[in-house]
Amino acid sequence: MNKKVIVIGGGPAGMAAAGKLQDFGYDVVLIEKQAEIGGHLNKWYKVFPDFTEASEITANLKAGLGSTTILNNATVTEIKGSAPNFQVTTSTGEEIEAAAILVSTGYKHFDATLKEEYGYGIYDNCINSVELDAMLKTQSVKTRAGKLPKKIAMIHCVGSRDEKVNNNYCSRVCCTNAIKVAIEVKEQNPDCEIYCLYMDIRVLGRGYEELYRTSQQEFGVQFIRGRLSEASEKNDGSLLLRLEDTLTAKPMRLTVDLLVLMVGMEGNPELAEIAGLTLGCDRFYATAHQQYSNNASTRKGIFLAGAATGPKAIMESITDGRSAAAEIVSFLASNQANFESNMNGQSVTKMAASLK
Amino acid sequence: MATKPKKFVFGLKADRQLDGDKMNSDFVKKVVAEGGKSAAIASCMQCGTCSGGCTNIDPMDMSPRTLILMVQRGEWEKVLKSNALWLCSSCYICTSRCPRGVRPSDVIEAVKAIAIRQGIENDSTRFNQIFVELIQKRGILFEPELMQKYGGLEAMLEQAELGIKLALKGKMSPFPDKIKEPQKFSQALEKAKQP
Repeated sequence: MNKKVIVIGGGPAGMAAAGKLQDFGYDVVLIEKQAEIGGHLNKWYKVFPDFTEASEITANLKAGLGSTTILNNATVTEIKGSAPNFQVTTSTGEEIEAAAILVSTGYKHFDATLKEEYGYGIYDNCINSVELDAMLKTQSVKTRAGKLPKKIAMIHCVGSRDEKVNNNYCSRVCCTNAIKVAIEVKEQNPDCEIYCLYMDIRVLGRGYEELYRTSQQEFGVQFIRGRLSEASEKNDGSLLLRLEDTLTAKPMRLTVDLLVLMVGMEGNPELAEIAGLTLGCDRFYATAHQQYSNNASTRKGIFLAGAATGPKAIMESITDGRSAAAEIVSFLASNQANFESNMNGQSVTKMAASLK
Repeated sequence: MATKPKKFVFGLKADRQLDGDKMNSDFVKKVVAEGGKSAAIASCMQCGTCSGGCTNIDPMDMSPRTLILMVQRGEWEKVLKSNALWLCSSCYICTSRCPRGVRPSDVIEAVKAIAIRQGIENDSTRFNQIFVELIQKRGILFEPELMQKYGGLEAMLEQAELGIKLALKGKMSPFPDKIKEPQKFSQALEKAKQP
């Protein structure tokens, strides 16, 4: 039997899965769109809640790849056949036979220009969380004019929990990320006041709540409960924010030197048509069953891992990748009939309906 | 005490809107210096457990939760104007229940100390002053005397009926009590006054 498995997407989930699959003795081909594997990890500075360097995580996962074949600068253009005999064509012209496919194509950042009232792309001092992380990496958190900011506002839930941009879900990581970057800014620039504008603080992982508390207790990060309604630019380049402070039930105006939008995650549906995958109404790939078949896609032999099936933190993606590896191994070891019971298209439809 | 709210144009109250730019950490630093170091003011996550359990919240114009928030944000005036400071009975329910180790009772104590030093005067501070002076004098409280000093003859007459009832039931003596060792008591007081 063909012992080849194709992993599409070389982020934390893909790398973790590929590493385990080759440990089990499979020939793994990892197809990565970019010139370098690592995915979004390559952009990040440090990872919450323990401030592990992102590069350390990438290095660790890379070291585990072993005999995996890596195809960089390649995307999948066609998937023919069915399990366990898939024929996968790449943009680089290669044709690979595989017994199973893992889709770990991750997510895309929400395009903050869609929230026009926040002024991303219009005002100089309105940036998103990705840009802030890059600034932190080079220790250069400054306004466009090159000054050290005295006041920074972090806006939670940008592009998440918002019907107006068709994203009803919570992106799950932005709260903790906001708290993490707030601490990092305070470490680099202790005199800077930081205001986190939140609706709910959703820090639900081991050590996350403690990080939240630390940010208040040790670093004096301020939390203002209320969603930003609009920002406008003043003559000096600072931004005037209008919001309601819902804790005192009063409208508030607040001037800040730098406005950071904590952009949420959006599904990456690029493979939906090519791989014949179903999307949930949140535009992430639908799994065979949300409870007990969370790594199987709606198509037999194609599996899903990481943020492809919904917002996940780095650690969760790694765990999910390894879980998918176990699913694939068991799929290939069994006569594959057992999997029919999980491939219940109806439950996916039901799940999609319940998400609406 | 109540000052007329300042009117903005069109009769809008000026305090209807919060000026976020006035937020500062000066007040917190002062309160912390005043003995609120273990009060963990910054840790507050605004859950409202304190206000929920507060035994005297009904007459307060500001809940303990809001009071902590105002201290965090440096809203000096609002805190000092609040009657919550003086209505707090120091029962410590808020402090014993806080999930984040914030000590609202201690914060209130510290804020009061600052307020008194700044020369704030109201019925509560006057009452406290008289109370302390009487304790210093006798070592034990003589209620009718406190009543007379605080409310004058008028208050005494008003409360006379209750006083007689209490006296008849033995709950309150019509004559001042004495403490066993006045010498030791005054020594203890002197010691307590030393920084």
